[in-house]
Amino acid sequence: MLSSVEIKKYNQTSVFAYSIILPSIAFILIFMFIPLLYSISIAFQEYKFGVPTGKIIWFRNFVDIFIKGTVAPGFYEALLVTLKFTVAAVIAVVIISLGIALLIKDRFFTSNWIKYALLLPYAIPGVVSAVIWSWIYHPSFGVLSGALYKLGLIKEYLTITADPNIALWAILFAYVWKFVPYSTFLFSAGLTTIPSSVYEAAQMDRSGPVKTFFKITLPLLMPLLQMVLVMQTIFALVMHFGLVFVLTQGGPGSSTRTLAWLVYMESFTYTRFGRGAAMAIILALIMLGFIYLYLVVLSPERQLKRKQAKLAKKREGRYAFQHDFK
Amino acid sequence: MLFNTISSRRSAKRILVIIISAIVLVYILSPIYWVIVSSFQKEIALQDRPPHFVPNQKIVTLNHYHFLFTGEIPPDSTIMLQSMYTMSGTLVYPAILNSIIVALFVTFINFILGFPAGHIFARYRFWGDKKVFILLLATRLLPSISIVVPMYILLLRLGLLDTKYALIGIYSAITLPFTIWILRAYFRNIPVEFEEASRMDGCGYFKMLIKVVLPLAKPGIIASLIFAFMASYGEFVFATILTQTIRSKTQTAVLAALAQGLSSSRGMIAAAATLSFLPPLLLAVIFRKQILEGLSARLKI
Repeated sequence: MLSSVEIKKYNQTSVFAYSIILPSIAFILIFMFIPLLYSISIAFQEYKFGVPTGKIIWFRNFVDIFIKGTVAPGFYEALLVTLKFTVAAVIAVVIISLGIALLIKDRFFTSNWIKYALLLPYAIPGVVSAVIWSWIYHPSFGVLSGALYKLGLIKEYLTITADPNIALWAILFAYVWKFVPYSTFLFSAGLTTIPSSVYEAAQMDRSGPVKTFFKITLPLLMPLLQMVLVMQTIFALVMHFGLVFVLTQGGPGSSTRTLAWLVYMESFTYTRFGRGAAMAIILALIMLGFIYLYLVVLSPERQLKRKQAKLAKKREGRYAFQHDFK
Repeated sequence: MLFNTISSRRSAKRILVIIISAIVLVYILSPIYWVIVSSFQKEIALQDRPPHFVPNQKIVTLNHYHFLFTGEIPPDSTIMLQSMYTMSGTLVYPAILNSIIVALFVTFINFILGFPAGHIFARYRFWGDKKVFILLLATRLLPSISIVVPMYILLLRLGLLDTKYALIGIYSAITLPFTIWILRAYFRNIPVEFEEASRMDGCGYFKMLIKVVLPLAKPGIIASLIFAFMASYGEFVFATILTQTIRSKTQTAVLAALAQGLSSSRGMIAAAATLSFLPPLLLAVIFRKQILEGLSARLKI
C-alpha cells in the first residue's frame, strides 16, 4: 500500500510530467489523430469531383471497393501487387541485411568501409534515390543497360521500367538499396550483444557455421528479428510510394499499381476522396494485420506454449494408454 | 588437399569475405558514383553508348550546376538540347532552401519538445505513462498516405495549403515520437546520480536539463536530431501533395516533378539530385559516429 504522502507525491509528479510532455502530445494529437478521425468520417461520405455532396453513405465506399474491386483501377489487382511486393521486399531486405551484418561482424578491414558506405543510402532521401535509379534504368541512356552492353551481354538497351514483367522487380531492387542499411545497423547491433563465449562453446563442439547460425545466432536474434520484420513490413507497404511515383507511375498497365498508389490515384487523379480515404483505412488495417501476425501469432512465447501444450497432450495420452494397459 | 591446412582454409575464407564485401560495396556505392559523375558530364556525352563510366577532360562540364543556380542555358548546346533545360530546373535551389528551412524548424521543435519529453518518459513514473508512451509509438505505424487525404482537405479549408507551417507541423508530429523513443532509451543508460545531485542543490528542472543532462547525453541528442532532420528533409508524400508553388515546395516535390519530364536534360536532373542529397549526406559523413551509435541503440518499449 502506498502512503498518502506517496500518493500525493505521485500526483504532483504526474501533473509536472504532463505539463512537460503536453506540447509534444498536442502536436501529435493535432497532426495525427484529428486527421485520422477525419479520414474515417471522409470514408463514410460521398464525394463527387472532390466536393462532398453532404450525404453520409456509411460503408458504401468500402462495399464499392470490395464489389467493384475488379473494375479499373482494380483494387484486387493492386492488393495482389502490394502483397507480392511486400513479401518479396521484407524477405530480401531481412536476408541481405542479416547477411551483411554477419559479414561485418568479424572485425576485418572491409567492415568499417561497408558500415560507412551503408550510411550513404540511408542518408539519401527516398525520392532522390528514386531519381538516381530512374537514371540508372533509363531506356535510352541507362547505365545498367550500358554496363551490360559493354560486357557484351545484351545487344539492345533494356526497357526496364516499361516492361510489365520486370518493372516491379526493378522497383524492389532500388527499394532494397535504400532500406537494407537501416536493418543492417539493427542486426549488427544485435549481433554484438551475443556473448562470444557462446560461439566459443559452439566451436568446441565442432559445430559448423551453418549449424551455428541456425542453432545459436538466429534463436538469440529472434526478438530483434521480430522487430525488424514489423518495421520492414510497415515500410514495404507504403514507403515504395516515392519509387513508384518517380519510376513507373503505377504502370506499365497496372503492374506496379500498389495500394498506396491506388489511394493516391483515387484521391487526387479521380478526386474520389471518400473512396480514397476508405482505401487508406483498408491499407492501415492490412498493416495492423501483419503486425498482429508477427507479434502475437509468431511470437516465441506463443510458439513455446504451443510446444509445451503439445508435449503435455502427448504425455497425457501416454499415461492414459498405460493406464488402460494396466 | 589444398584446403586441408588451417591456414589455407583461413585465407580462403579471407578471400571470400573480400569478394563478397567488394560486391556489397559496388552495389551500395555505384548508384551514387554514377549520379555524381553524370552531373559533371556534357549532355551529348551522356547519350553515348556505352556511357563513359570514367569521365575524361573532353566531356567534363559544370554547365548543369550553372544552369540550376542561374537559369542560363549552356551556350554550347544545340537548339534540340536547349529545349531539354526546363525552367523548373531553376526551382531546385530554392526548393532545397525550403527543405532546409522546414527541416531546421522541425529539428528545433524536436529539441525543445522532444528532449524534455524523452527525459520525462525515461525518469518519471506518472499516471498512464506506459499507455501514453505506447500511444505515441503507435502513431509511427500510421501510413502517411492514409492521413494525407484528410490533411489536404483540412488544410484547404483552413487556407494553410501550400505553406511551410503546415509541413513543419506535420513533420514535427511525425518525428517527435521517434525522437522521444530514442532519447528515452539513451537517458536510461546514463546514471541518474548527477541529476539527483543537481536537484539537491536546488537546480530547477530546465536548468538541470541544460547543465547536466545535455552534456552527458550529447551524442544521443545529436543522433536523434539528425534523424529528425533527415526524415523531414526527405519526406515526400506530404511534400508533394500539400504544396503547390515554390513558396513551400520542398526539394523532394520539385525533384520528383523534374524527373517526370522524359525529355528534360538528364545531366541537369543528375545535378539536381546531387545537390538534393548533399545536405543529409554531409550530415551523415560528419556525424557518422553519433548516427551509428544512435542507430544501434537498443530500443525497448
